Amino acid sequence: MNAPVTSALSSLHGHFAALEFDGITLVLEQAALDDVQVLEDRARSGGRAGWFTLSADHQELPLLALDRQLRRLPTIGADRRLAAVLRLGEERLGLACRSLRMLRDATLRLEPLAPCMQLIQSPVLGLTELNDAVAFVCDGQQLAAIAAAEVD
Amino acid sequence: MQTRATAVIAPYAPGRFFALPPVCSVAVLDEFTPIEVPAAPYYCNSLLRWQQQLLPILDLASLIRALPAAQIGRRYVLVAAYQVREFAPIQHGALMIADLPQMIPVTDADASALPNDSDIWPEISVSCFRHSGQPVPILDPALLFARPLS
Repeated sequence: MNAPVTSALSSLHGHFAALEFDGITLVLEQAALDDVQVLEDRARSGGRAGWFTLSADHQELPLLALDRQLRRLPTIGADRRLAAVLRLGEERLGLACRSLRMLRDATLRLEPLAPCMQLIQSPVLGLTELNDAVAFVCDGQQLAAIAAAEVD
Repeated sequence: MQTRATAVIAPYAPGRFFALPPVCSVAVLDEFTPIEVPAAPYYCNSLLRWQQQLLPILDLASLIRALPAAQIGRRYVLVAAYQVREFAPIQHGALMIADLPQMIPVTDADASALPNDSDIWPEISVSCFRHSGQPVPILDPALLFARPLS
């Protein structure tokens, strides 16, 4: 049995990117973001359900769209006009977003998730408030990994 | 001589009750807007904004059944207070409930075995008593909210 723990607030300072889609906002360290691409009509079906491709810098990037529970969607909604390009090991992966904001020299108040809400494979490191709304501070690598994970 | 105490009981599903010591039962809310948390366990995947805090909302019915439960009929949340150890700061979590809690007297003669419908009861309960013919586990909120549940 795991021992109960006390939660504690802390703060993060640096450059961040706030990705918004399906009504949620995820905050990543800006270093986790490799590039930003405008989607327009450039996303094409990638052959596997829920996988798309995007041509960027003479390369074909895998592109995914997630819902608010970070599950892969079968289609990319018309409101997702941007792709946040994340690193997954040596690979790059596009994540379709509705909006993307850069938070430069920002100090974020980080509140840990209650232990009962934590899952080992979750990319969510904690909570913060952006413009009076809750945003979820995430590990970029883990987010890319959970997006690309085979769920079947 | 029998010990007599008071317990707060609340239904986590229609006709199924848990109990808390009165000191742990802090507030009941009937109007709240849960904030969904991505990639969280199905039994605890939303937050309650309460007194400048963001509290986990735990659905005991889902946890016990090991399945996402239909939330029809559970219209309140009960805010529970706990400490992970003596002199530690008081923390809070919220439990979904189907109806308003009641305070009832409990004596030693009411002691009972835990319900046998889930392996989770021994992990989250400190004791159990019988009320209206049914076992009612007495929960320790620290065991529910302050550690990952198996």
